Amino acid sequence: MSNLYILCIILLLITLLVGLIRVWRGPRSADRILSAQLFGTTGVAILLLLAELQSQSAARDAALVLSLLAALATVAFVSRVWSNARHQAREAEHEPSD
Amino acid sequence: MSVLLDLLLLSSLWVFALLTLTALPLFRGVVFFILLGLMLALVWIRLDAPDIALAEAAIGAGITGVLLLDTLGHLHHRADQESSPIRLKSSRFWVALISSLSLAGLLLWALLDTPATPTMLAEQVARALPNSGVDHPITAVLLNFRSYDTLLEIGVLVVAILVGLTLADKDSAQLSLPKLPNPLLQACLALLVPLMLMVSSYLLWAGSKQPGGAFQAGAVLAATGILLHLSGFRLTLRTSERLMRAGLLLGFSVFLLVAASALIDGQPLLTYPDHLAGILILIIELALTLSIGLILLSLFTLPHFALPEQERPK
Repeated sequence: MSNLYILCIILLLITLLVGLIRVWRGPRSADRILSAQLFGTTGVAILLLLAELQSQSAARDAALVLSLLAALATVAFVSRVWSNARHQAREAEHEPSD
Repeated sequence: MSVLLDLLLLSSLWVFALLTLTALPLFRGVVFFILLGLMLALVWIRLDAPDIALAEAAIGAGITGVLLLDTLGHLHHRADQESSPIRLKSSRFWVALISSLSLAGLLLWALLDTPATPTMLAEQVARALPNSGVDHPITAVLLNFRSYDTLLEIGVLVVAILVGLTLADKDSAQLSLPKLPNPLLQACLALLVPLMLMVSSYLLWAGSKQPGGAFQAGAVLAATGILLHLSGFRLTLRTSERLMRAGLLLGFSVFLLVAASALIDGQPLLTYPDHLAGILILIIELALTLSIGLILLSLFTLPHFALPEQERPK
């Protein structure tokens, strides 16, 4: 059973690493923050699996905190960065992405 | 199998850290920093250190990310600094290089230079735990055995706010962005805010017998405040100023009062009588939670404090 948990965690970690490509390439900042949001969800899943794997019930608390606070970054992004980054993002779209 | 998992965790931590340092549009770096906090929380859980993982999840992945995004928003307003790479002067570069290398050397030295006679701290803590008033060893160390350190930590937070106040400048208040009149967000708030408050008090209460405690609970409390602030539930300047002062005072003074009350009995500073230890620790933690929450929230709303009342942005 524990091997199954480890396998699932490894798979989820690999999806995180693949998701990094989207954060790196963007192209818009909204794409980046959205993939970060997705990372939060995956992180919660990994924490829950780790809680089972290591019979560490506090990992569930960490997952709870993470799931509540993950939305905060997106709200901050929309209210603080998005409104004035929109103009720049439009410019970035025309540049070749690295 | 589990070695593979550990290797993967370790290598992705390296990848995230490197990306955070080298990412050039600053926004990209901020996103990587948030993700690095998430990875750190996972690694701490893997290392069986759930207390640190909880704090990292709340502060690293939650509050620090929001503070950095907020800073980025202010930078955008100020000037177009996004695309210009940060260049260090060569003298600063050498100072940074030397200091980080010596820190790494010190840490390596501490790792290699293990004392000849093992100190057995875990056993000592376990032996003294029944007299500490709590059942969780970490809370016992933080608020009973080594409470002096925690008291000074709160002092550091107070200093951080004071430094922040000196940095707050008058222009930034005009940059305070409009509210977000988004019905979806408002609906989410109605669900999220009570949950967050409940989790905050749960973490505070849990601290006496399992991972949790004032810092984590305070961070969640601050996150609630920041969420409300971002969604347009703003307090008037006068109220938030008073709240900040209360936050600065409350935790430190309650802690100091409890610490000093031992002196009346002829005991050294910060010793609690055994039968009262549990309730005293709970009182201190409650005050610290409120205080830490208000202080972290003030760090976020700080720029507005520097303004006199009549210049408050409408």
